[in-house]
Amino acid sequence: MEAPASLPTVVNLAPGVPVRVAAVGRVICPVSEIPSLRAPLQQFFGDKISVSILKQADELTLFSLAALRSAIIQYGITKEQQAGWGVAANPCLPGRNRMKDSLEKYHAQGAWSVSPHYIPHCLLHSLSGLLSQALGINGPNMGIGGVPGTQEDVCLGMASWIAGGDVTGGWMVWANWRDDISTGPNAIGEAFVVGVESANERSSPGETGWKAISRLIPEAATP
Amino acid sequence: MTKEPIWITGAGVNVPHGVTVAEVADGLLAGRSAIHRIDHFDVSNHPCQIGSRLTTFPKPDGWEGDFASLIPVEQVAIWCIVSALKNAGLWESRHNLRIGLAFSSAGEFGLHWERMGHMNPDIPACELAYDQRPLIAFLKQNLGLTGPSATLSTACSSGNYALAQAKRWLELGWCDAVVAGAADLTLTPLVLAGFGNLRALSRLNDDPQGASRPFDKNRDGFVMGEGGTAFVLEPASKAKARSAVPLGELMSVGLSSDAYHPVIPAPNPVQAIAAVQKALTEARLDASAVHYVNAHGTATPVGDTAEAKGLREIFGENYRNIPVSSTKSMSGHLITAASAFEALACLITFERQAIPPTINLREIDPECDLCHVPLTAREGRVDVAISNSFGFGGSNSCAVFRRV
Repeated sequence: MEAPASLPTVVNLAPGVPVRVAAVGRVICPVSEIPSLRAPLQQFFGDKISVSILKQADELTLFSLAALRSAIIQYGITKEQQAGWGVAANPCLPGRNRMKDSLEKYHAQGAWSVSPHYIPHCLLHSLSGLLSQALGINGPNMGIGGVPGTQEDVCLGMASWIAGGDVTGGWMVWANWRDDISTGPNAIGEAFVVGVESANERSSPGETGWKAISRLIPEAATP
Repeated sequence: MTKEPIWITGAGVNVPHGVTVAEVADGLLAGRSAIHRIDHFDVSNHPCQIGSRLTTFPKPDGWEGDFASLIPVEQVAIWCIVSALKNAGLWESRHNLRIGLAFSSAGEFGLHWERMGHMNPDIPACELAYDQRPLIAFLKQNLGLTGPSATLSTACSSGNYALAQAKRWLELGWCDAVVAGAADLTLTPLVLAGFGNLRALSRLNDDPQGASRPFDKNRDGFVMGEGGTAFVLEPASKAKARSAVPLGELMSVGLSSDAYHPVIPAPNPVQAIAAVQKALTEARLDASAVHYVNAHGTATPVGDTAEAKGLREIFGENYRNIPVSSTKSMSGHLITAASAFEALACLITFERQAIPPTINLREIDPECDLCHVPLTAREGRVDVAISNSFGFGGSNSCAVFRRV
């Protein structure tokens, strides 16, 4: 499927680093609907990630996988196209809910109660690692930012990889809780992904980095 | 993009072996373990009860702000960064330069939430209202650094990824110099229990200093450690212009992903090999030019075997001649801060012309057949060293350093 006309062809990821935008995807999802996310994700990424990994994944990871699935389907991104890509992902404050539960259990029951899944699934590296596994791509993956106000870091990281020839393109991912509230059934999570490829075009003047990329956020979001 | 050499002109460190490069070099080359029984919280029901804990948090001269009230990871990061800038001769002039900051501290908020949860059980755990300030913003503001900055994490390989970012930023001309490194203090009840319940940690609790046994037939997992290391990197021309003394050249960093499992390294180390080969290719070096390999070598059964297999494939028949050691046998596994510290171990081999040993390597696992440096340091010429680091999430990396 061709990209919609409103999708700019080339943006400046950083000064002197123009990239071609290949796909965008966005998901907004309340906590109460997380269980319904898992089935389509299992169907789509099932040959790469197991049901148990999807069960243990952080909520921000699930939102990001859903946004990725949406972008891949909508823009027809192929495995071959992603062969030389990397993943730079910014989960904002991951693992808050799991840490709260872990602390309560630890104080009540001791060391044996602590889940072995917190470290693999709830830290800054977890999201990019799982996305690279889900996509089956072998370019570098990196968690970057991880705290409020660090959206630009993802652009910086991906731009340096592309300009340096480490990747031919990549997925940039931002995942966050709306209003910074991550607990309770009314909490709403959001993920935004952009697939970019190195471009031969000369850099054009104008906005750069997150300022340029944030203009690509679709108003509509799935599911 | 400039392709001129990138030099490392300053280093700062705070690990249990010491708070200066000289102290660390002495400790590693003496084959001294920094691992002890954990006594700062009750470990009686933990599967692993040992670690390499940081207990010294020196305040650098020239730091004008309140130091005592900072959280430990901030204190460690500040010590390392200020020491590195002073070592490079850029501390006084830092305000006049565009200095970037690529730093890793993966669990900064998780560790803060946990610390608050143990210290103040009466307030609601992990509430937004009690969140701390982000580390990087605090460091940039208080150190007066004005270049680009980022916190990044690829788990155990984070330090190498920070070095890779720093190199590219300099090649792209985004800054005059970059401070790159990592700090992590993860010997906390939940992290120790989490890794312990993953069955990733050694359970040789009765012999702390003998517990970290990379490549040994009887290895049973890693031992956690704490600390931080920071470097100043700059283009060689700028360093030469101000007569800076290089600690070494960062020739390249090769990166790849296993795309295999969140925790378990791929048993067939194709992508780990790819990371090393990318690094050697960018450095324009043949594998035979390598004089020392600082292995990832965590002492997990699967990881060490896969790494040894990969190194044998990279070096071919020559694998019997290229010395390999794992300094984690002495320092423990510094987790996010591991590869930054191990980059320093490589630079130390240039200065001392000696290779730190893998202590506790008494019975080499036949599946880990390599040119090991067991038990005691080995003197010898080291002009090129590589540092392997492979992290959770399948993040592979290899950094290549050259003596200048």
